[in-house]
Amino acid sequence: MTTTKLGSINNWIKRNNDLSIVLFILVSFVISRIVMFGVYLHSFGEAPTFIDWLHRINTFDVTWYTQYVYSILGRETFIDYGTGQTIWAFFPLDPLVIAFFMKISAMKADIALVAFIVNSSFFMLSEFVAYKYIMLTRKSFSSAVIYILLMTFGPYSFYFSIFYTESLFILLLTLCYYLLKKKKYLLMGICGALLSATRNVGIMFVFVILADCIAEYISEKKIKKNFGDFVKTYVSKENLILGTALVPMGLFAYILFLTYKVGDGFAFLHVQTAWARGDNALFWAAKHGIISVFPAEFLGVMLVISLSIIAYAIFHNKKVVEMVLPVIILLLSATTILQSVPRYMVGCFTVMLAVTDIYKNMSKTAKVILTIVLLAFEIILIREWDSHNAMLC
Amino acid sequence: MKKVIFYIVSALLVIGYVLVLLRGMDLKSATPEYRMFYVDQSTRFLMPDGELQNYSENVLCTYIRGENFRNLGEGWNDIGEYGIWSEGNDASFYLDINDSNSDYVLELTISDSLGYNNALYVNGVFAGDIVFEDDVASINVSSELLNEGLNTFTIHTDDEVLRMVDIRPESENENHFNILLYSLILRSAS
Repeated sequence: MTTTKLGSINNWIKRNNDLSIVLFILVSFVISRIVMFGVYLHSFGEAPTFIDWLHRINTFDVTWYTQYVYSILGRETFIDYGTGQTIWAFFPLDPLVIAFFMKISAMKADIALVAFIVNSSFFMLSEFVAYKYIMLTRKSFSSAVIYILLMTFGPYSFYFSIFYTESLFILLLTLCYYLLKKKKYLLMGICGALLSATRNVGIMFVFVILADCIAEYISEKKIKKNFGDFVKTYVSKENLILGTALVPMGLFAYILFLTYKVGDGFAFLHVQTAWARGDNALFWAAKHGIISVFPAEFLGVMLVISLSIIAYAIFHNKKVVEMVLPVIILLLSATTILQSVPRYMVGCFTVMLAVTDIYKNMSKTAKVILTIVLLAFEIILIREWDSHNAMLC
Repeated sequence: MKKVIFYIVSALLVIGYVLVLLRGMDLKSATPEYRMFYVDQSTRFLMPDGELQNYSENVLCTYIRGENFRNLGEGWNDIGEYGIWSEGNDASFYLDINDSNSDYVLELTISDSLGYNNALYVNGVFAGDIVFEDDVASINVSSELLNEGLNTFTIHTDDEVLRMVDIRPESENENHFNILLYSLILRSAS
C-alpha cells in the first residue's frame, strides 16, 4: 500500500515537475524560516514576536538600505559626519523596489516586513529559475532538489530574507545564466542591466558571456578555427551584441545619476574610504587570513573553502564558464576585505551549484555527514547573526 | 533591417557609456568639501557642503568636541578633551581667505607640547618659526603666501618625532605626537 502510494507520488512528480518544485521550494522555505525563528526564540526567549525577530536580523548594512529607501521617498540624504559614510556606497535597485512597496503601503508597513516578503519572494523565484537552469545544463531533477535544499537550509541562507541585495542579485544572476544558455540574449541583456543596477559587480557578467562564447567556439566542430573567425562568428550575432551591450546599463545609469546628484559619478567607489577599505591584493588577504594568524581565522577558512570549491569545479568538473564570475567576485571582494567573501560566494549562484555537483557525486555516508555539518553550521550562523556578530556581515 | 538597428543601438549604448564615464570622472561640480574628504583624502573629517567657507579669517577654530574642528587635514590624532595632537612631521589645516592682499597673523594656542622645533608653511612655502610663549604662538603670514579662497597651512618640524612614551615614559603612549593644539585664529595684521 505504502509502496503504491510512493509510486503514485513519484509519478505525479514526474508528470508535474514544475509544480512539484514550486511546492517544494515553498514548503522548504517555510520550514527553514520556522527553524530560524526557533533559533531566535531559543536564544532570546521571553516570547519575542515575529516582527521582533525581523528587526533583530535586519542589521548592519540594512541601516544604509533603509536610509536609501527614505532618501528615494524624499527624505534628506543621510550622511554620517563622524565617519563620512553615506548611502552612495550602495546600489539602488533593491532599495527602489522596497521604496515602491513602501509607497504603496503609504509608508505604514514595517520596512523589515516588506523587505522580508519581497526579498524572500525574489529568493524563491531564483530557486525556481535555478531549477530550470539545472534541468537545462545537468538534466538532473535530484540536482535541482539538492541545490534548493542547500540554498534554503545551507550556510548564510538568512541573507535571503533580510534587507540586503543578496536575493535580488541572485535572482537576476540566475536569470542571466539561464537566458544565456537558452540564447535569449535580449532578455539576458535586460536582466544584466538590472543586475548591474543591483550591485556594481553585476557588470562583470559580460565576462561570463565572453567565456561562454569562447567555450562554445572551442567545442564547435570546425576545421578552421582562429581569432578572426571567432570574432566574425560572434559579431554577426546581433542579438548577442545588443544583449551584451545592455548589461552595463544599470551601472552607467547609476554613474549618471551620481554625477548630477553628488557631482561625482564614482561616488560609490570614493565613499569606500569612509569604511576605511584599502586596496590590497588577494594574495595579501589570503596570507593575512590564513598563514599569518595560523591556525587560520574563520574568514580565512571560508576563503580556503571558496577557493577549493572553485578550483574543483574548474579542474575536475570543467565548469569554467560558471566559475568566471565567482573568480572575479573573489578577486574584487577579497582585495578590500575578507568579511563579505562567504556571503558573496553563497550569493553568486554557481558556487552553490558547484557544491551541488560535488554533493551529488558523494557516497551516502559522506552525504549524511556533510548534511549534518551544513545544517549545524547554518544554525550556528543564524544564532551568531541574531547576536549581531560582525564577522558575518 | 533589424540587424542594422540592433548594431546601431549597440554602438549608441557604447558611445553613451564612454560619455557617461568621462562626465562621471569630471569632478568640477563636486563640492570642495566632498573632493577633499572622499577623493583627495586630504581632510581628516567630512565637512557639510559649503562649510569650508566658514573656516576663514577672524574665526576662532577650537579643536575639542562640539566645536568647529573639521578644517583639519592630514597629520592629526583624534579630537580630545584638551584639543587634538598633531602626529608626525607634518600636520595641516585649511582656512578660507576672502582678501588675499592683506597680511595676517596666525595665533596658535596649545594645551601641551613635546618640545619640537616647529615652523609654519602656507601653501607649501615657509612663513615663519612657531615659538610658543605661555602656550600661545603668533606667526606673521604675508599676503604673498596667500591664495584667494582656500589655503593650506602646515605645521612642520624637521626634528625626528619620537613616540610619546620615549619622551614621557609614564604615558605609555606609542603615538608620535608633537603639539596638542587647542585653538587657532587668523587675524588681519592691520
